[in-house]
Amino acid sequence: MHQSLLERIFLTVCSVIFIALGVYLLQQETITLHGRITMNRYPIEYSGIILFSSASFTAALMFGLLATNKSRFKNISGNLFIVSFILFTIGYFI
Amino acid sequence: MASSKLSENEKKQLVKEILGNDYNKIGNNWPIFSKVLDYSGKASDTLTIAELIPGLSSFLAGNATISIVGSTAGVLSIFLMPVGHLISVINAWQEGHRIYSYRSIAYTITAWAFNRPRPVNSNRIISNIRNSTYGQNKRVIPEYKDVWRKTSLSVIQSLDKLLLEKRMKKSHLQFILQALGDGSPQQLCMLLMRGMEDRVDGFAHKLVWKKNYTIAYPH
Repeated sequence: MHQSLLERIFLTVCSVIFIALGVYLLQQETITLHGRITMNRYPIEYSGIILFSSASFTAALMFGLLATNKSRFKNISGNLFIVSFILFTIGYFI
Repeated sequence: MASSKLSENEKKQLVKEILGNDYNKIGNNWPIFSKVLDYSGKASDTLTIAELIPGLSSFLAGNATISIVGSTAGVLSIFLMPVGHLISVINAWQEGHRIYSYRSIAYTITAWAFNRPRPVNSNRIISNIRNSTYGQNKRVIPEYKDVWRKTSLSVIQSLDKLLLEKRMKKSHLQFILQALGDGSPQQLCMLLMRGMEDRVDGFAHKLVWKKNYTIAYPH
């Protein structure tokens, strides 16, 4: 896994953005997602927000591990992506 | 029935709960189907973006589960796209109804808080619609009146449900709402309408919503 400095900076910035997003979400009581295709509105309750926030922190960790540029973290990062995706899915549908 | 005193935070929470209720499904057609459809779009986008992330692309390419999920979501979103756009068109067409229903929510809560009869419509808004080209169609005004009636009845039902859930006296909640408006129905109605500002989608619709702040309760 060879990444250029630019890629590592990009991954670090992504990690910071996702941490900020997770913190922001935790401060919300309810959020409303807008469907991009149908333009419907989906209010998300606090339990869903917790899962979204967890998904965001997991994604931040994934970006952080990718930014370390260590090959032993490659599989962990991939699995974290899947975990983050699953958390988002559950949060979206509950 | 036991009733308890509410703190400031609880009062704010209460107003949020009152405004947060889903009083109608206007402009939110086929919610479950739409949710799945929008999810497939989001999943497809997420997996496409993930493939561009340095270091993650090779993992995702080699993972069979992710490939299957990504392909399924992508294919599903392509086939369901026309239906999604149809729902989007219907939603956009109903945006006027939705805005009118927000006014109905604010008016009904205000009337309920001040022990006044439930308003049957907003005369000024109805008059404005009637004078527009859109309002020349005979079906338009009854549709708007029906939206108002359904929303208004739903608000009353939700308020009654809230009282039962919170084990509160009606007079207690009325007093809180009156205090929020400093004893003025117009002020409370304006507060409620401003509270719903974020729910109005689109620049043009938001502009119309804000412009109509000049039309005060109960007109």
